[in-house]
Amino acid sequence: MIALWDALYLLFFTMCGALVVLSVSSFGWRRLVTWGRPIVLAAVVAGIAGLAARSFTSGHLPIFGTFENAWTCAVSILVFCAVAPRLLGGAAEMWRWMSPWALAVMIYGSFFRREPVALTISEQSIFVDLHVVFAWAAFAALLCAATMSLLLIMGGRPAGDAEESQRIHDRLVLGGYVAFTAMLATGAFYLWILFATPWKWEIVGASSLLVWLGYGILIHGRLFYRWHGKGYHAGVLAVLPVLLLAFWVWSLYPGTYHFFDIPLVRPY
Amino acid sequence: MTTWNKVLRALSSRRLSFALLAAWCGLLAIWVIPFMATGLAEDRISSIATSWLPFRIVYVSVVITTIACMNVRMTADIRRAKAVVKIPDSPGRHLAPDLTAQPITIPEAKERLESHGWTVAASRDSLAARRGRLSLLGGSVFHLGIVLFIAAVALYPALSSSADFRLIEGESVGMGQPDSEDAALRSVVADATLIEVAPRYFRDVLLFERLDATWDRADGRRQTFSLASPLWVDPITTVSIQDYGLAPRFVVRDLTGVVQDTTVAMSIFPPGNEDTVGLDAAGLDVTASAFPDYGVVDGRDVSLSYNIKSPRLRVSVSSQSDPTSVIGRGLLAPGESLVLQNETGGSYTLVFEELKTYGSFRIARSWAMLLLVVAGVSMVAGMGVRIWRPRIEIVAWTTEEGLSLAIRADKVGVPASRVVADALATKGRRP
Repeated sequence: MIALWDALYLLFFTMCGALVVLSVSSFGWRRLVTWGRPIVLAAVVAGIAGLAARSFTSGHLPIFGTFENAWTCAVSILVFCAVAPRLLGGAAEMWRWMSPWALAVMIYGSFFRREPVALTISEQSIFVDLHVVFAWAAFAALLCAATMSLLLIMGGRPAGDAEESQRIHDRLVLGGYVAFTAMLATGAFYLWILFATPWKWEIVGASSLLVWLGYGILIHGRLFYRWHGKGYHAGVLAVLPVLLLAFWVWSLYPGTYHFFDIPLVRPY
Repeated sequence: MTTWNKVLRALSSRRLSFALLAAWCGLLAIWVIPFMATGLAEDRISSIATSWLPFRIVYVSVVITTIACMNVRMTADIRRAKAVVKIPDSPGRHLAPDLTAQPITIPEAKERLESHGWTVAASRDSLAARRGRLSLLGGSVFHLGIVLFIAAVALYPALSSSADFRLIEGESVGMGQPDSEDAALRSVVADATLIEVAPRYFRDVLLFERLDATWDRADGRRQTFSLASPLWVDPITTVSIQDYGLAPRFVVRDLTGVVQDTTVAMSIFPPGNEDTVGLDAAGLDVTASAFPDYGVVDGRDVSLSYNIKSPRLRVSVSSQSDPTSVIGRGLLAPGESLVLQNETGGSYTLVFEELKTYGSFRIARSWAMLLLVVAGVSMVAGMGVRIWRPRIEIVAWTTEEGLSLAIRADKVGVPASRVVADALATKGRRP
């Protein structure tokens, strides 16, 4: 018999796929767009319910291992799509270009161990929970900005006219940067608690620093020199691979203390 | 312009800041991350990133240019933040409107804007208003956080100390523990007696679910702490348990009585590891490996899990005078013994009395952490204020069609016209 969390996981997965199909289909049949927001909201409910059921089974928040983190990330992306348009004052159809990311992350996570296991002691802290909240908020905002940049380079209108799209893009980059800074700060503080040092030179931290500096350059350019157009958006896209590296390298590379797909070694 | 001002302007150059950020990115992308990907040891990476001259030049330059830039910009930002809201002369003649024909009078506009938290100055036929007065300072606060962060990391070794020590269950912190020149650090744990180290593993796999340490203090307090929930002695000092291991207690007896009774920390965990300890008073070397949860599977001695449930110790004993000759072997449960004979024909009994645990602890103290906390809060708060409450200034004047407004605001991310139009259209919460 399938567990409740597993059933909700599959439901959420299916809804991510439905959103992608809807997004693609709406290019030919515009009326389908009106179905998007209700399905996003339903997917968010299913996703959060599934994560809650998973947490009940495993005994901890869903932050341990690539499977859980991928699921949490995908839910975070759709929560962002549900909430951000109101905060930004635009981009109501954000789900159309963000749902493929949610689906891609779910597909990626499905290749990893899904068995619920106990949370390792080094993750049992409120500071880790805060760090994760800021991390996924930053990831969703910056990923959205990068995707908008791609669409703008391709001549699209992701959020209305050019000026409105640029304004929303600016808010995404700036807001994502604040969340990213908060993620680094909480991470540094917790690292001191664990290892009596605020910084370790390992690949997740170093690539995160590179992301932070990269967006710093872009924000300076935008504020001081009003960088805009295809050149600016190409710069935003250039940081995207490093952003993906910083957030996901730990799922494949064990040489980092962010690695959490710990082999379940048995004594014999 | 004085020479000092010229230097300041050069150091606060935006192009220089771009160049430094780009250089820092390049150094990370070329010299740090690729080496990490190839598996170079962390201490080597740390040495590259902190000691190599190009990195040091970038770090020092970033601090100097940031301070220079803050010095120049913060002065102007403070002046603008403190400036009184003033209505310019004949605004309709000199300013191009951004919003026109607003169906609202000057008194109504004043009331609506003030209800939304704007600072307003109004005359009979014109008005000036401002909100987000402190927003411009947010950038300076953010960059102050960067300077504090780099300074804290650079000063960290000088402002911090830590010490590691080990205690077996039942042991008190002894003279010389922890091994640190910092007397204040040593005094933090001087009166502690370890009661228990309680590890717990998830099912039968090598995954720590819990690792708590409990100790008693001289004043009767009992304190429990773990790796992720350390003991906070004060805001800058923590005590945490870093690791644990097994410490068997051996009692060696001869015909006259107890020759040696010792509990010794050994590196025999996880199962499969072997370690040797010298019982010098008895002249014996004991090589041991542990089975925390002993069982027999397919005729083999195994440990069924990593939790200490049914411990056994496999021992091999040799005389220190002839280490190559094994004088006794056995698989002992707590309380069981081996009878040994020495080279003169006398007999010893080696008893495995009990299996205790030991904890490896760390005390860490750092004034730099206060700087880092202030740095983190500064960066987040500064940037947050800058974004979420951006500065907008408006000048409004009456025309035949209605109210016209000129708006000045950050061009980046701020829907200034919409914010102003919404403020004029609705009444806010403030009286």
